[in-house]
Amino acid sequence: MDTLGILNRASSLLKSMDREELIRRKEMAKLELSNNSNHFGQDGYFVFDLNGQFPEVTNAKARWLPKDMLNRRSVNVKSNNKSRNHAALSFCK
Amino acid sequence: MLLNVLGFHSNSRTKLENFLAKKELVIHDDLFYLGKGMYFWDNQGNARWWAKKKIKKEKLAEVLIAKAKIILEPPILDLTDNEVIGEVRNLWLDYCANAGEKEVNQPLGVILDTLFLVFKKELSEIKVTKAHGDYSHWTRLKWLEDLNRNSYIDNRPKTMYSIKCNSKLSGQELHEVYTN
Repeated sequence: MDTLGILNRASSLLKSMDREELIRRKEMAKLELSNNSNHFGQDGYFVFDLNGQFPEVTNAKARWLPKDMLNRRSVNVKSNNKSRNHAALSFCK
Repeated sequence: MLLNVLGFHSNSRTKLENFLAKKELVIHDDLFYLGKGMYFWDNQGNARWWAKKKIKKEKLAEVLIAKAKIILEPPILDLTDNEVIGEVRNLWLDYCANAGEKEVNQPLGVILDTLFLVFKKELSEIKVTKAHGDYSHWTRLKWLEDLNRNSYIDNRPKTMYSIKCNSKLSGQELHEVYTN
């Protein structure tokens, strides 16, 4: 089964699972989620690039950067101040 | 031949001894990256950068860089794939809603570890997670910046893998002893 199939299967199971079973699994896993996490970890504002698709991830770009900065502009050679030759020569510096 | 990519892992000699000799994973229990697993970069440059950082932070004389083939045969949890990200998010939100979990906003490692524990059996086939780390706060390499400010080519995203089972690795060996 591929990854999407596996994730879908887990989702389907979750939908049909009664709450007691879910709580049992949660307790077995000794899970306790905190709200005191340091969002950016210990590593100098490292973030995950999840393509703006997972805003609940606290160390993801979607939360770290303003939304307008997420929308990259497409490449437009005409708007570049440098000539193509100049740009190519910058490889050699 | 199995689909694979060469991965690099930087660590102290003590921690890497058993990995190199017996392929015992050096499991990093981290909340902020991809949860429990042994972490690999997909190029030597990132592994050396990490080694340099480790030497400085932990005041080590040397750091070993190991390399191994990471087997990428499906299923892998590819968090560079929008469809997979969407499904993981749905699963997480549904889990939180059904379990009455109010702390929905969490670091990625916490989310993944939680899902792998709650759905231990259902997700057990997934042993490799891939993601792009974004180091946008760094300065982009000058020649890329000079080339075109709007270019999509960027050295700052870094690809990383987290491996949960040593059956997903082969050919582990010492790549380099890194010293400053």
